[in-house]
Amino acid sequence: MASMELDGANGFFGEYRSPVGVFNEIIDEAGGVRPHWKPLADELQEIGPEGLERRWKQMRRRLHQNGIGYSAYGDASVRERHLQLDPLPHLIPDSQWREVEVGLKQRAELLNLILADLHGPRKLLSDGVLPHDVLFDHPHYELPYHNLPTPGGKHLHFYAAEIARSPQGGWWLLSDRTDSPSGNGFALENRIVESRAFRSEMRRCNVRRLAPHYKALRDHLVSLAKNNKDNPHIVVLSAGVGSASYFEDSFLAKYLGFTLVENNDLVVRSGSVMLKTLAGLVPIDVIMRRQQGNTLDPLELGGGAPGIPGILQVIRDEKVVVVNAPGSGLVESPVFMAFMPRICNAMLGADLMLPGVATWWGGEATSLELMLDRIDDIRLLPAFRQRTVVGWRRKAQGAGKPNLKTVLPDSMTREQRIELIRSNPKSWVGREMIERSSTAVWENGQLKSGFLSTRVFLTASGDSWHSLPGGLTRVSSSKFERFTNPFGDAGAKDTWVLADKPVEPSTLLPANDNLLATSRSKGALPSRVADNLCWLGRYLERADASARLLRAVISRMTDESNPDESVELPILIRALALDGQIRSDYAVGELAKGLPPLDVSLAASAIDRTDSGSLRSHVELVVSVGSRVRDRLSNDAWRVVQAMRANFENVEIENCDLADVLELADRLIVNLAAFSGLVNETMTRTDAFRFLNIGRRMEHSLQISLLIKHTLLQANNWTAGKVPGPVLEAILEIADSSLTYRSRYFANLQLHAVLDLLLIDEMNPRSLAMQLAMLNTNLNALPGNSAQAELADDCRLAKEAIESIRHADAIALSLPNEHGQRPALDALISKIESHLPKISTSISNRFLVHSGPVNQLIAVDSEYTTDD
Amino acid sequence: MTNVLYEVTHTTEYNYGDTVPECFNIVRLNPRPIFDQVCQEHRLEINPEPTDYVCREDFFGNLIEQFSVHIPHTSLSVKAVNRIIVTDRDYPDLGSTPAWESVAESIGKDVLAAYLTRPSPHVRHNAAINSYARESFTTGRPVAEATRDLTRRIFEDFEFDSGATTISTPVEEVFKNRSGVCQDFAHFQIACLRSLGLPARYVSGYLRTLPPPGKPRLVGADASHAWVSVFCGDAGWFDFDPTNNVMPGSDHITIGWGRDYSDVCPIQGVFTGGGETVMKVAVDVLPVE
Repeated sequence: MASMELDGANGFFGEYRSPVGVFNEIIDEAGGVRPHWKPLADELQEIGPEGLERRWKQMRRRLHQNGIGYSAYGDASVRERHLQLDPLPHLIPDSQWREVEVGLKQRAELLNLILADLHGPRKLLSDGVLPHDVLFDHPHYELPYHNLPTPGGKHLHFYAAEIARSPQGGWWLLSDRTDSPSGNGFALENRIVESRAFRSEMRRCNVRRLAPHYKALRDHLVSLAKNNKDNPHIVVLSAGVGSASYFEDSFLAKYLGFTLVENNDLVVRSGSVMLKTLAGLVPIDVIMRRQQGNTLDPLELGGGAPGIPGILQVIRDEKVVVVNAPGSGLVESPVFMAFMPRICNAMLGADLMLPGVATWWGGEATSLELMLDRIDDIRLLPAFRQRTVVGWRRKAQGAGKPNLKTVLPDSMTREQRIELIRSNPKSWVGREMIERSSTAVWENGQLKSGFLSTRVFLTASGDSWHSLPGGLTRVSSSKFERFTNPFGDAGAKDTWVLADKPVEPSTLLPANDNLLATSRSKGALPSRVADNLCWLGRYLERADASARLLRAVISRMTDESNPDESVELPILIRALALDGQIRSDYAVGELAKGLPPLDVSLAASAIDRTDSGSLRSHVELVVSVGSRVRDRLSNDAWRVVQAMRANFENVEIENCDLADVLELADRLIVNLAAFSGLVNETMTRTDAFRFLNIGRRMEHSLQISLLIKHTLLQANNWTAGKVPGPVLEAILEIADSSLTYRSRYFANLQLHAVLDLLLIDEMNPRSLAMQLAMLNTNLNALPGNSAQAELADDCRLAKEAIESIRHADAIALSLPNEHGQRPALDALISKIESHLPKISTSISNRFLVHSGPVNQLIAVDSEYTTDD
Repeated sequence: MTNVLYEVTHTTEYNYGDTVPECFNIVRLNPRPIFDQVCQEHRLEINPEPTDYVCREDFFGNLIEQFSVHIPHTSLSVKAVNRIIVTDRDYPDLGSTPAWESVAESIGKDVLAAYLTRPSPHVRHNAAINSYARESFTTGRPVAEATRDLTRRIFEDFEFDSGATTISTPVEEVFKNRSGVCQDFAHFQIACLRSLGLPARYVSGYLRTLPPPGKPRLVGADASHAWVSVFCGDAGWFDFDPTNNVMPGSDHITIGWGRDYSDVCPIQGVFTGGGETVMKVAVDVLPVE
């Protein structure tokens, strides 16, 4: 039997050396492969090291393309960090999983009861089970959260826990996540990538599917709606593009079919929480809170907290359901770990089914003694988990207290640690250090060892809980638990819960049931998203125009002819300078002489991301604004965006020459075209598409105008004002209309024919006329237009612009006056150039106006006087 | 027993300096119904007209009103008009209240009372504040009698100076400089009481202006006022006004109470837009004959 050969040193894990003293997930005490690992070990034997390496590379590529990043969005200076996903999964037999699950369900239930008590009758305090300090010293204990109504008494709807195995092989709970647990989006994405690489192996190993859990999660959210029960509007509230979990938030929102929103997208009006959309305010029924921290309502929480002013009152009036309930984060503080066994006895009359790691709180005299006695064997942690929000200074209670991110330096001596506890015992807990189990990790074609813990996820479902059969397993090189950035330096593993018998197939693609149909019909576009899409369109066109101009310059500098003899090159270099791609001095003959040769500086300036005019920074803008509308783009389209940036990342400024830049420009142009193609082919013609298109058409119009202006409408010393053929040829090339021109006029280059093709011809997809016509069409299709008797400013201006093009006469535009100038052309281009910003402003005013930053208004003490 | 009927108007005007598209506000100007006062009429006049309005109870049982304005505006005025009958209080013999130590020891199970012995955003204490308090709180002294003595000492030791402090001046500094306004004295006295383990709360309200003999009463000179309330065990909560060295009676009109000023701030809000904001407050406390 094959499985017999795999035991011990003979199989795939033959070379794997496991560390001693800890539980090994794969190899048992006798040195053989554990029974639940045997089927996969067989498969791996079959796949072989080369096969595994190949699959691992595929997985990495896919992860990279999907852009699974932690943080890094929004900040262009930080490279997106990619979650390392180990190809070898973490395996848990179903029988063991069921035991863990039962323990987790008990704990979720208990945590919910604790929350209901602490935000209500506080019997735990009056009965003396929990010291007052644990609640009242908590930096996130907020009076406005007292007695808020919760659906079915449930505060907790999403719960996550970190679990690990002790050296004896038993499961231990390391920590709880009750505020807005993150990681379930990553777990899902990991599974999608893993299942592509191990499709048939997973089937043969009877791996339980994740999809039913996400279905349960969605059903649960739908069931929470108080109003519109059959057609609820549900949103995923994210902390936004700068936040650590933004990728997950957008991924989940898209997967679940809910709208992704940020604070500023929501407003309280007429007693409801409303989403600002292009079509007006849309009432929201359920909010899935994905923001960390305690900052929901600046009106009641004060201190300049970010959030949605007035939302707590809407919750009180039960006009909206927010999950997890505000204040649910209280019980994830480490201090609660010290009391869980006692609370469980007091509230449930039972012991905890899943033991938590032993924890002592310095606020209890006996525990304090224990902590000081065992100071070398415990891990010291701040008692309270304090979530800080960027730009928000907390009120007095929390100030100056250690928060969980406080990292105690390794250099801290025993005495310093004792002093730290003694100076404020209530602020610290001591925690037993648990040696976690080890597993094999695939690294550079070899099996290495790592230590793991797994974040597991539960979702409320009816009266019970639904667990995700699997989770986010993270592996690190330390056997002790770590409290670093959850997705930072550790690698991840997919977690397979292995059933005894074949598993019903289910798809990870969202089922096409009623919910999705209704959410599609409710696709009102948030104004912020429309704004971002419009800018994405603009940046795409700007990148395209810059790349084409740059390419035209470089190809002329590097071809066989002598650049000094080129008629058009100085014109193009001037255009490049006017476009901001190179220093403006290059446009002036005398000044240019003092500068480094252009062929030296041009390459570097094109890929310098710190230069706002560089090609590179145009690409960064596309990526940056693109990531803000990630949930609106198809995976393929997003991969193209990722590829645009990736091309630049392999080039170094020092070793970059013109040929490299030419190559970069070529690739970028192809990527941009691929993106347009995908968008045109796959994006439904909704307002989202229209806004992307409006941005593109406005920018493309502007870029054509600028091209004409920067080449033909500058002071030129052409004989009798006649534009030389090579200049016309270059303009046609940059405007991507050479082919069409040649097919019509062969090599006969004449200005009026060029202008006709580039400006007036509505058949040419690259013409100004075409851009303006499309702009006009898209603007007219926006909501609110048909009903209006009078045209909105933007529609009127766009109509004017297209009409002035239609009425233009190519010959008249092309004729120079006695000074060699072309006033008719100048007037037309100026008109277009001045209309475009006005159109943009009008669109903003009509659809995209955002409320500015929220200011705090607190009565000052000036009114306090007395006349004693 | 004297009954006094007051008409109190409290007007707050904000000039935002620039357009404000929307604002959200919480107002605490609605007198809390308590045993010695009855509010006959309460009216809130808001300009511009609010879009949403709700009145509810807060954590401490105070009445708070919440409203929002969703039309662009550059100024906001909030005028509260109250007609209240206040009855003079009949305080029992202060010397018959329980010893302060026994009050401090007895509150373990009363979570809310225990909560009011804790530091709060504006009230922290230290050893110096505690030893100042201990001069009045000698061993076994009845809690109300000791608090009355503390009230007198604060009145005598501290100088009223409206320019000495702001809302963010910490209690420690008020103590060091021995000067401030009514809310500073209230915060300081609360710090003293809590340093002894006694539950103490901050009371916000108004004070009737007693005109000097022979002179007309000055309209508009009145203001918000603040004093303290201390828990005296079975005898209940007793009020003390350290600014005037009195125990509040029919001259004091209560709006509500909390841990400190931050829980009873008359108006707080958020708004979008705006520029340099200027606020004006006018309070009239008129005894109606």
